[in-house]
Amino acid sequence: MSEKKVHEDQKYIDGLAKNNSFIIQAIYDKFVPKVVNYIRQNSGDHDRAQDVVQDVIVTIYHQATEKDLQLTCPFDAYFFLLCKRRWLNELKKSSNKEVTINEEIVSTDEPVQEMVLDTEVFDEKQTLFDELFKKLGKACQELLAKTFEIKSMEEVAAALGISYAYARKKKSLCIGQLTKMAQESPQYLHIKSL
Amino acid sequence: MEEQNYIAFEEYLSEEMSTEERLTFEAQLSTDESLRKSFETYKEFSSYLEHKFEHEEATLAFKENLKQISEKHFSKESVTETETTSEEKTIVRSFKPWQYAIAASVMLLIGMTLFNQFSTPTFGDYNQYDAVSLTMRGEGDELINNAENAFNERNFKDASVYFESLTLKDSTNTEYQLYYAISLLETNFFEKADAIFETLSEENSAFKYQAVWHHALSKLKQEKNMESMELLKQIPEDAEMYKKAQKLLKKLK
Repeated sequence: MSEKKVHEDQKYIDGLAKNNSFIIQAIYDKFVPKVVNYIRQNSGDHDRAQDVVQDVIVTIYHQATEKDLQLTCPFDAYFFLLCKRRWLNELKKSSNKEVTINEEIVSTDEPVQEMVLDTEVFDEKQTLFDELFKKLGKACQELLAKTFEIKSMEEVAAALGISYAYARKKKSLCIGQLTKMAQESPQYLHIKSL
Repeated sequence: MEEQNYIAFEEYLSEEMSTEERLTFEAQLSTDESLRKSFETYKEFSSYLEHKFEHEEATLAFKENLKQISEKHFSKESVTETETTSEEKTIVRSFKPWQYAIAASVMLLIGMTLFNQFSTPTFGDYNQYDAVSLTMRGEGDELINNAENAFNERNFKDASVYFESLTLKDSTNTEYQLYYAISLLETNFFEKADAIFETLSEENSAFKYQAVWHHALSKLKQEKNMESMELLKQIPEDAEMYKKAQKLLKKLK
């Protein structure tokens, strides 16, 4: 990825990461109407379109802030394909309803598909990790939350009233539990195979 | 065995291993595939957690901002949508007499509020406070929480009690003192409040000019406008509340 040239539309990614209202507004003005049209022509409505767009933007935000997302294709194509695929997925999930898909022929070149797949994998992993974390025992959840909020393990130990050595060991074991849960999850194996 | 691995992962990631330990560990990783997979997952989770908790507030702020922009965008769009679909049937609206009456009273109200702006200022025009946020992240002191909540809910009677205990617990914290004094001022214990404002403005604390400003408001509430003006004049140009102070000064003159 690093040897590829970063697209000038990276400004949209950076703007999202910085919660820049001006950029968010620009994305809605420039790129969202097309998505809304597509969803409305394909069994969706206004409200559903609004949700899809919002979800996709939040995903991009997460990937931008956590993984330092580098855009190597135009934002327009990337964003549209993400929204479109998310919408088609939703339709599939509720496929007991009759679905009409007006598939226009869009030639999506490889860099776009690659970027989209990357983001989708990131999003799936994020969702899975969220779920697994919720399954963790309360004590572990609390310890991990403190650990990453406070940073200094000495202070964490003091805040929780346990010894430093124990806090450190606990942290490894709690993340260890999550690691094990992930490795045993078929979803995780599926994501890894993508 | 598994547990030992996780402990090693953590030590490696937090760079707590000696060079020798590190090299052994890396050698192990390169030969043992299941260990490597496990380590990769551990690392991924670690980075996920780090991001989740470090960016919690920023993420919330982002989502809130996004929601607002989205809502504005989509409500605008649904308006243009209905406009285009009902293009042919133009609606002619005629006002009924009672609608004129409503419009007239609304105008009157607007007029009155405008007029009020130019009249003599009162304490009630100024006693809006930014939300207090004293709790450091992760710190769960109940007393601080109570104090903060009471103040933010404008329950100043309770707030003054909580902040009093806080100032007793930590007499060096000038922020507690400032909020204690504001709570006292709101509950009309002027003497006590003014005394605290005075000490705070004499010290070189971070809240020096905040204290002067609130002291001036206290005098305003007590209708001692001359004293209030004297205090307002002490607020220098580079202080945060200089503009507010100058505006109030003008109105008091």
